Order: sequence, then C-alpha cells, then structure tokens
Amino acid sequence: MKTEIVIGGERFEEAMPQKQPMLMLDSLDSYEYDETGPELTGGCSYCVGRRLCTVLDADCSLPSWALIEVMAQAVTATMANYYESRGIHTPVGLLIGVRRFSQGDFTSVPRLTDLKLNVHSGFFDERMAAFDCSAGDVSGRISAEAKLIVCRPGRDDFVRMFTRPGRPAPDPGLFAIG
Amino acid sequence: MRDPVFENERVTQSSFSARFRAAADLEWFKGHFAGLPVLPGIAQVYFVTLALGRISGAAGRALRISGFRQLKFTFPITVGDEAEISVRTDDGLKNLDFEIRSPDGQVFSEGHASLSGGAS
Repeated sequence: MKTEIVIGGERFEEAMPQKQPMLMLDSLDSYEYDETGPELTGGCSYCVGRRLCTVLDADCSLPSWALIEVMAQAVTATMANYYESRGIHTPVGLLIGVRRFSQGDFTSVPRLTDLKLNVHSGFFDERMAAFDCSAGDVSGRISAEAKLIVCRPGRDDFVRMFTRPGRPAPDPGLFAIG
Repeated sequence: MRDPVFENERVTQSSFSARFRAAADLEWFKGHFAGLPVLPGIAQVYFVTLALGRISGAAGRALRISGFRQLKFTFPITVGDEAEISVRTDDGLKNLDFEIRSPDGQVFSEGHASLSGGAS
C-alpha cells in the first residue's frame, strides 16, 4: 500500500492538467494505491468560489450539475499523484462517460461551502479507469454520487480525435502516454 | 464568453435544437488544456441546461436537471468545431435526452437526464 502524497502544496497546481480558470480543487488530502488490486483511492478538498472559475455562476455558487466536474478533477488529482509518484508528468486525460450522477435536493452549492470529494477505482490501467465518486459538505445537505469513466488516448487515437482538415497536426505528447 | 451563440434555434414545449460554433473566445477553453484547447464535458452539460431553459420558457415550467445517466463524451470538441445540439423531453417533462453532433454526423456527446419541476 502506497499513501505518499507527492503533489502537495505548490506542486498541486503544477501537476494538474487543468489550469485557471478551469482548475477548481484546492488539494489532494489522502491517497491510497494498492497494487494487488490494483485499487486507487483519493480524497480532495474544494472551497466553492474561493477563486473564480468558469463553471461558477455569477454569485460564485456552484450549480449542482457542475459537481460532475469537481468529481472529475478529484479523479485527475488522484491519477496525477499516481503518475507523479512514478516520476511521470501527468498526461491529460479525458472524461468519456458518466454512468450515473445523482444528487440530493439542492440546485446549487453556496459560495464558500467546503466540499470533500472521495474517489475510488477498483478497475484502472494507464488507458482507462472507472471511478466511484462522492461529494458532500459537513452538514450533509450537499451530497452527490457518480460513476465516472476516464481515458488517456494512445497516439493513434489522439491523432484521430484531434486532427482537423486545414489545421496543423496536434502534438501527441500532450495527451498520449506511449 | 461562457454561452455559445446558438443559431437556427428551434424551440417547442418539449424540444430544442440549434447550431453553434466552438469559438476560440469561449471561456471554457481557457485552462483546458494548455497547448490544446478541448471543450470540457461539463461545458456541454451547461449547454444542455441552456437548452432546457429555452424549453422551460416555452412550456411555462421551471424545469431543472436532477440527475444524469449514461452521459457519453465520445469525441472531443476543439476550437472552431461546428456542432448541432438537440434536446428533447418526454411527454411528462420528467426526462430529457440530448445529443451534440457535428454537421456530418460525428456524435460529440449524448445522454439522458431526469428532470424536476415538470409537474403542473
């Protein structure tokens, strides 16, 4: 079992592929990698509206459906720690599916609400992963769950997905692992 | 700019369709990602909420999304891509299906949502 967080402090923003104003999370707080599964578990914090983000509404509240993005970034942070702990700069991943997303009875998360995110995967490799995710505040009024599917395309898939007629070919090194 | 410019809008009490272009000045591309802008999946969900707002106006109901199932982001949207969005609710305004595709039929995303606020 490996639990070391190597993307703490200032390393967190450096390691995350999302940058301002799309980066939402504040930190990765807990991490577990059990290579016998393999299983991967992460816990993250996000204070809503502490900094501006495209996803926020004008009053800096977070629309309830946008918890999908917060969960996706918690998956990214957990995967980033997995890669960086091996000395690999985090490749960009893509959210390719949300099998389900359910939420409590609320339409938005108020500004300055402290959210805790937990993600767990019992199925992942360097190309594809499925994560069970939850988000909530300490009061229990805000709660949501989802199952997210993420992938990291190989070079051939990357070129196929991002090449457009009449435009320069993209740099596969941005996304692809191998 | 957070909202896309919808063109050729068609709105009924149960459906919405329009065309839009993923313009470079959409805020969603900033920070997602450095070196290669990709329209986030959550931006496409946001566009669906905008469409639902149009349907709500036509139906005279305050509809909102209360959950999703089987969201698929099958092909990335990048700067300059043209797209068509189609959103349709069921008769009871309890469920929603959507699809975003290119003019030549490449599906970018699709999915289903449950709605609240549909009861009269």
